Amino acid sequence: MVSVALLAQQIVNGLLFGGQLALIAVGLTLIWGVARVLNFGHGAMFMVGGFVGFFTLGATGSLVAAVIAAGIVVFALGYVTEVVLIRPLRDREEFGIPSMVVTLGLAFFLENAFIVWIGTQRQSFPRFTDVIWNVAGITLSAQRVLIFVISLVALGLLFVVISRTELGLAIRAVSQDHDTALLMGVRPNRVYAITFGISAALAGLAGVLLAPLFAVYPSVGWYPFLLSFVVVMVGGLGSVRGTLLAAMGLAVVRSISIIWVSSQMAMVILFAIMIVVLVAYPDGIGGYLE
Amino acid sequence: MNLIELDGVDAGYGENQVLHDLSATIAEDRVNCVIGPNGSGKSTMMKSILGMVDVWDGTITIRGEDVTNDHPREVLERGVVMLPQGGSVFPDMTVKENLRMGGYLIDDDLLDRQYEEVYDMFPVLEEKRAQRAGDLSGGQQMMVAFGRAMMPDPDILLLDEPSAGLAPHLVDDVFEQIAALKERGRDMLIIEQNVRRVLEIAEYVYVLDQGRLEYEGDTESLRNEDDIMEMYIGERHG
Ligand SMILES: Nc1ncnc2c1ncn2[C@@H]1O[C@H](COP(=O)(O)OP(=O)(O)O)[C@@H](O)[C@H]1O
Ligand SMILES: [Mg+2]
Repeated sequence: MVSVALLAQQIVNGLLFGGQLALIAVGLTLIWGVARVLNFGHGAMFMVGGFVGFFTLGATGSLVAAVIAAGIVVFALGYVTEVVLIRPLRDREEFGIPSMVVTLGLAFFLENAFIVWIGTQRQSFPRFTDVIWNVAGITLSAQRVLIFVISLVALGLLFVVISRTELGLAIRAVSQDHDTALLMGVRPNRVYAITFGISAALAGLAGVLLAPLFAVYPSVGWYPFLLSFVVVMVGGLGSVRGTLLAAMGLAVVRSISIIWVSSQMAMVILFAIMIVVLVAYPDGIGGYLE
Repeated sequence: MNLIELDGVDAGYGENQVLHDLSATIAEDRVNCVIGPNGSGKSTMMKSILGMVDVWDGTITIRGEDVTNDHPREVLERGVVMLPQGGSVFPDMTVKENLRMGGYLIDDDLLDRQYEEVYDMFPVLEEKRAQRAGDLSGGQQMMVAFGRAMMPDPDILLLDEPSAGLAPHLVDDVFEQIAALKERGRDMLIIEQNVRRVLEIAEYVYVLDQGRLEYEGDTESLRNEDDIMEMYIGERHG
């Protein structure tokens, strides 16, 4: 039985989750758009963000400190990853596959390092707030709304940086034409490293924001990675607009499928959508949104 | 004083050597051109000055300072700016953002003055400053590229085939623009396939063939070199 109230509830839940998914997926699309790296280590950045948040919270008792620490540490991790692992590959004739394999290797390395160090058990993360609102028959958890708002603010900041600052100008220059950017005096290597850092920091931020829902454990990053992978494939790698739209749309599809089909089937449905979209529009829907 | 000096430069891509023991002195206060057959290494010579291609051997100096294999940034800061072949505007940026990129290394308080300079030169760019550069016509994109190169107020402007691929009336515009820049005392190094027209403007000529310097001298002396004229310019004296 499809009840209108339940449908409305799931659409709202889906949109709220879509904001978080967008936060993860935009980082994935950004690093592709600028540096042409399909980062299979993106989920590991999410996981590290969760752990940094978990430990910072334990040490300081402050959620704000946990969120900030996760952003900073994971930014640094992303920056170093680009300099140490990706940059040496850039002079090679073949870059796409090796860079993908290296990031996949990094993902397994980090996952297993955390297993050895901490173990596989789930560390639970306290909820930010237990307040529940009831609006026109729809239940809204204040925590999810808060996470959604923080995600939107982070995405808004990213947008401002890219469209309004000198750093953003350099990022766009490098993504459009590496050699000409170099001719203008830009240092593309620095731009790649900073972009990788920003992209990772967004995943790290998502990792700590979603920790109360997902808990924190070494393989926690794979599920959000797979979801954001589907999102960027549907949205079009490199297209921020397509990614945002796909994140919202697919998150709604997911939350509706979870209720009326099953949560395992939700993933099947999402991948089926991805395959159908890719067969019809090999570059995703992003190019059609201009 | 000599502005740019190449001394025994070998350069190339990967295993493929393009420039062979190339030495050339580019003096101040004149307009220079580089001519030679397709693939003779003209663009590579320019890119080696800018630090855009590996120099294997030899040195490149600007006003006596060694810049061999330096980052293009170091070269730009010494007042040497290159306009690449085809213009290469940033298509997804606005016209004004493209100009901003040209002024990427200059102080913020100089920016406004430079925008004015460029808009004076190309009024249409001011009109279209908020438009996406990729949506402009080929001729207007070339203006954006020219304006972008003028933003840092270069001591010498390196132009790589500025008239290539343009419709005939736009070619006229480009040469008028170059003549106007010369009028205002701008030093230039110009690569051109349109030899007849560039020789009307340039005061000094370098002839490159297979990565080697075959001739250098002022334009007037070149006209008395029958062999060079016939081989590279397709004209016979008298
Ligand atoms: N990016 C590049 N990679 C490899 N080879 C190149 C590259 N650019 C130019 N070449 C080669 O270098 C030689 C000289 O090219 P170029 O300097 O562009 O000549 P010109 O500007 O005189 O036409 C040509 O044989 C060309 O194929
Ligand atoms: Mg050329």
